[in-house]
Amino acid sequence: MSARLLAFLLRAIASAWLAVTLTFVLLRLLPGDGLTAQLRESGATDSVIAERQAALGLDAPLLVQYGRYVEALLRGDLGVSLLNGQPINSLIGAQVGSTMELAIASLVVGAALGVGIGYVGGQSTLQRYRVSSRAICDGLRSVAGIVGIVALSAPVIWTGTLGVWVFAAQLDWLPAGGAGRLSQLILPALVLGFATAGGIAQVTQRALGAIGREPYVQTAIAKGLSEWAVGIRHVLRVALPLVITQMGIQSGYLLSGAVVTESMFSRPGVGRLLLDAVLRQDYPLVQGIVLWMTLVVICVTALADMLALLADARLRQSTL
Amino acid sequence: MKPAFGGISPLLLVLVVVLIAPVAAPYDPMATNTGAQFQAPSVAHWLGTDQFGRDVLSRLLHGGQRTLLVTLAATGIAVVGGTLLGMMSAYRSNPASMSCPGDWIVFGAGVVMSALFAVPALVLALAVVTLLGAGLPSLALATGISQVAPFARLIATAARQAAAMPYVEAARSLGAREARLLWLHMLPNLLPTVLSTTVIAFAYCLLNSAALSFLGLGAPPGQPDWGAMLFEGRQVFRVAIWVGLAPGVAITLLVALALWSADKVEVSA
Repeated sequence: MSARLLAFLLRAIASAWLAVTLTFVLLRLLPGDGLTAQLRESGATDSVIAERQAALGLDAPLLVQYGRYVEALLRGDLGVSLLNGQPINSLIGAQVGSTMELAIASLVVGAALGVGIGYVGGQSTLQRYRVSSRAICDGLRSVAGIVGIVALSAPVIWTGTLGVWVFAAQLDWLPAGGAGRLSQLILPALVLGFATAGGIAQVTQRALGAIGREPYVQTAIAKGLSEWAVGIRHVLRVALPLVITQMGIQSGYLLSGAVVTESMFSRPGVGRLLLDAVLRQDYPLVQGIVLWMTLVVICVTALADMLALLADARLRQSTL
Repeated sequence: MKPAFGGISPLLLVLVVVLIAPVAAPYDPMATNTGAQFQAPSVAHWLGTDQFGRDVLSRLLHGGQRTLLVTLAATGIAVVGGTLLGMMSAYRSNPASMSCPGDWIVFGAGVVMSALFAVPALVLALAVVTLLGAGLPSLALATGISQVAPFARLIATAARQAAAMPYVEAARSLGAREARLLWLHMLPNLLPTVLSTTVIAFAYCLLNSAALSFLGLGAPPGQPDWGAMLFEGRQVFRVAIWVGLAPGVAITLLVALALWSADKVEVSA
């Protein structure tokens, strides 16, 4: 058990180190690095450029630069923005709260919707033993199937507009954008959560299909337990680790979606900051945010893997 | 035709239709008409007109072609990169020769895959666009690169399973070199998996390339493109919801069809 946890931790650290190295290499791959290009465009002479590069340590050998970069990162220093010279840490730090708010709210919506859709859609095996109301269940299952496919397929950039149109323009229940109040969080969280629900529903449904065929489920039904008891306590409970793992994987999807959602609903956030940095070609800021997001994904994935382990009685028992 | 490949024939049909659809466009997609702004769907304009009086149906048909070409190019990149990277993780060093770097290849491929996989797809694509600048070719490249890791993971799993099959052992004991084993023996057997993964990659490339052009990183302003049309629709939704409705429905249906086809291929494989 602890060996497994350690393995997860080691893998997370290895991936993080890789991501750090990869972003470093990527920035060095730039055809004539961004800073030089910018300085040249603004009409700086070669000596000024050399001076500026020396000040930033860009004239040192690559390996030394890499060492400095990693060392600065270990201190939690991501460098400064090209555009306004502000530390990237504080630029990201100022936006984290808003993005986390959106991500967590969306994950809650996505998990509830996804497990719900997946549960209704994946109950076919339990239904074999059902005597009554088969028609209603079949109908519910097709509805769940369609909603699940739409959640997987509909682009956030479209469902966002639809959501605003229905809830802000037609019904006038919720504000169309902005941030700060709870009412302004609901619509973006619903839109991003709906998109997240697609993947979670798919995994839930597949897991339920596989688990439903296990003999112990048949036993539980033969004992005379109600369908809900079997479904929730015996089947869904066993599917939980898979669902948790999937939710960890969705964290990357949530951050991708945050970029689009934040700009659609004019919310502040790290995604919006990233988009601004991309449009202004602020390379260090892009690098910093990409790295930050990657590290968040690695941490959340590792956390989800460990939670899944804790939720899975079989894995908990096994020694690695 | 093998049943596995029959599963994608509806998708292929739709793709061909979308590619040649501009022929059927009733108007010039770029022609503005200040007298006909924001017209609701009618007989003259089946899907209405936008803020410049341009015909939404014509823009949808022309935009579909552009969006699809970008998506197909991106899918191609994901397939080539993902297959190479994924197959490498099934590489096994030949015990007969000491110099064979098989273990290193497997290790390296695994390392690259896990690092790439940790970067959120759209975020990775944005980083690539930053390096290459906006525009359709870099949009396609960025979208494709961001699907390499997910693609490679699925191929790697299938390849590792295939590596344990008796036919691989048989070929190996006959003295086949590892590269020959991978590309001539295992890859043909993995084609159904490659196919279904390709269709899934296509779906995500379509969603991501539309998102990038929604964010203004695709075609030059004014050119029709489903992502850009969704952006225009977002701007004017209060007066003309139909502008953004059509491209959204088109993307959703195409992605749903692709995911459905991938399921079909998987089931029959």
